[in-house]
Amino acid sequence: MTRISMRSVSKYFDGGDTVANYKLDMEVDDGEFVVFLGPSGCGKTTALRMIAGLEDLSEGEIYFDDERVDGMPPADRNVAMVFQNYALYPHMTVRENIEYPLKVRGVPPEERDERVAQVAELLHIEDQMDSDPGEISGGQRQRTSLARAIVREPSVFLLDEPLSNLDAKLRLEMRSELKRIQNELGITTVYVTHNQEEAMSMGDKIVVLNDGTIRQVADPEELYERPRTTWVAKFIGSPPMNLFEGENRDGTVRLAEGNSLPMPAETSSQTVSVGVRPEDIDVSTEAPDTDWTVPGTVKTVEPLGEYVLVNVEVGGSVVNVKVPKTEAEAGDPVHLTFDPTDAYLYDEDGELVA
Amino acid sequence: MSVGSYLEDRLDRDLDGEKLTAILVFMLPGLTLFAIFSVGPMLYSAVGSFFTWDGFTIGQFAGFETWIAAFQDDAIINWDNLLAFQYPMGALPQNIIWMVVHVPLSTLLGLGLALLFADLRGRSVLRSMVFLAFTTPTVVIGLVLLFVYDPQAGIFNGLLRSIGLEGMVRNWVQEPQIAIYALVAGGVWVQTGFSMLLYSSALAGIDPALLESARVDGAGRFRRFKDIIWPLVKPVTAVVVIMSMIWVIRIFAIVYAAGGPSGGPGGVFSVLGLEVYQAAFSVPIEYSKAMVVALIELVIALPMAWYIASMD
Repeated sequence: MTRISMRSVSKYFDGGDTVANYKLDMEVDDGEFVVFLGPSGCGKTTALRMIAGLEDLSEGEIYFDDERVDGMPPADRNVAMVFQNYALYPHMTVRENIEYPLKVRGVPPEERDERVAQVAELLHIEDQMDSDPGEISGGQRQRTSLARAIVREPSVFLLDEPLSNLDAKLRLEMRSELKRIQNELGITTVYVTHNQEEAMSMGDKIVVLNDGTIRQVADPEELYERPRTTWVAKFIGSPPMNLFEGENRDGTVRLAEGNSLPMPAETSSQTVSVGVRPEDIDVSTEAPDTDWTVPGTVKTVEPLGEYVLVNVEVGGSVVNVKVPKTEAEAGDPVHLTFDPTDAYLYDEDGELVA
Repeated sequence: MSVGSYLEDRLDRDLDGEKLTAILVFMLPGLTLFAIFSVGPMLYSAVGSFFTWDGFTIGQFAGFETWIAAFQDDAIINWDNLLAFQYPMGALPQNIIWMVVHVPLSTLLGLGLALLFADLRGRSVLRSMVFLAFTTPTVVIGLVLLFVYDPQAGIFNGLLRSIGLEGMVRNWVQEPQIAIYALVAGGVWVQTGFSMLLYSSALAGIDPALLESARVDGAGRFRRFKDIIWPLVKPVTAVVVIMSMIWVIRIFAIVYAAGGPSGGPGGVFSVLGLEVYQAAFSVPIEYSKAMVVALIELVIALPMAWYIASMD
């Protein structure tokens, strides 16, 4: 199978005026499921298209194992790609669509039939084989386009937001289905999405991109537990991490709200920020008997069943708190507390200190 | 299936008398215009072709006399020359030959240019230049062709001289066996712009992801064209082919401008339209012959118009 390496890959458009990707350096191990995650316009799709060979590189090199592939046409890279809108050939039946890559590559008809039947079974679309793509449901179209990608037994499997056109229920179903198929086949996979839930649930490794550059490469737990910059911290999690501005006073953190936190500030930078996940904060209407709290006013309370989301205004910005239940109501003055060991300290450049 | 049950199948079951009245009332203005300006004249000439005419006054019933005369008229079909494939063959065969040469050429050229311009910078300028010919009055095209093929000043003969083919230089529109092809080339020039425009918009309507997907699937340039582009522009091809067939069957001004009412020396590039004009407007006026030739044109064009109109 195949290991993908990108070595300082950059992509410029409009003669260098637009930078889509800047110096991407990363590895995808053999059989690994890697997710490119980032907001729209962050360059994740361009990066995927460069791996596919649909986009030329401006700088850098891409290797599949030890073979340099940039400059090779997509057909010679043995990659398969699933497009956001599925890109099924509208004038061919489901069977002809799945068969097409085999036909182009001159696979003999008997073998073709066999392999098409196999993937059809794997993806549960045996009953739709003679329908036109226009006649089947979104989920079945998705399965067809997956089947067309898988049937060739590619060495690299590329997926560009494949679930974004499906409704919520189908998306969940296809998510586990995709993961199952990838596990079963063990194909090196790169998956592009802006949906962090998808990324966290499917990826062995997540590559967070913003403004065309890689912000962090980590597995899902690490990404959640140790976001390396304030940007990643604010991007991951729903709602994302809260950041409190503070100052470094001789090795301890003093929040802008006037409280000293019992946590060490092992950094030389003067201004710092303290990040706390919404589920790690407690909210109470009465002053707790700790030596510090963060005072605020409740803006809204959103009871979501599983938990209650309390939005508290603290010094002009909103802090999201996730609690099992609360007595606080909109307008109440409240006190926020958290265990300093759950907090992350970022220096003035937004880099994680501890 | 009887007509009754067929109609029952086709008619909406909810159609009650009131609705039917409303539908008829709304259709009345359109149907009236259609009857006066389309169906009426067709019936008039269909009936008129079976009568003798004295000028514009209808005479006696003549049966198929005019029809038989038309098919024996050398200007319409010159049977001897037709069998020997020698021009002039008469307006009907010449018109059909024009069609057979013109339609595939203009269709393929249009598709070729549309494909060529699809990803090119400045494509809108190039497209406009090619399409310009279609917007030019066809009389002007005929005159331009006279200039282009002029033995002294013509650009085509100039080109032949410059590549050392002095011997080929001649007045192309006066050569009996070649003249029609020289004019067909002009017609192709005009129609290519039209088919290119239709193909361009059809190509723009193809989802680029389909072609990218085919590239990833391993299809080269030719296979992408054959397997993806060609099937997807097929409906447009039908429109382009039939529209140019209809355009050729109606052709008149280019021929008139290039060769006068006779259609070139001995009528070597005369077409049906020209014969209608001759019969109806030059002395002696043969009104019934004009009707017969016009009906022949109509019989050829009508099924094509029907096909285009009934396309989904």
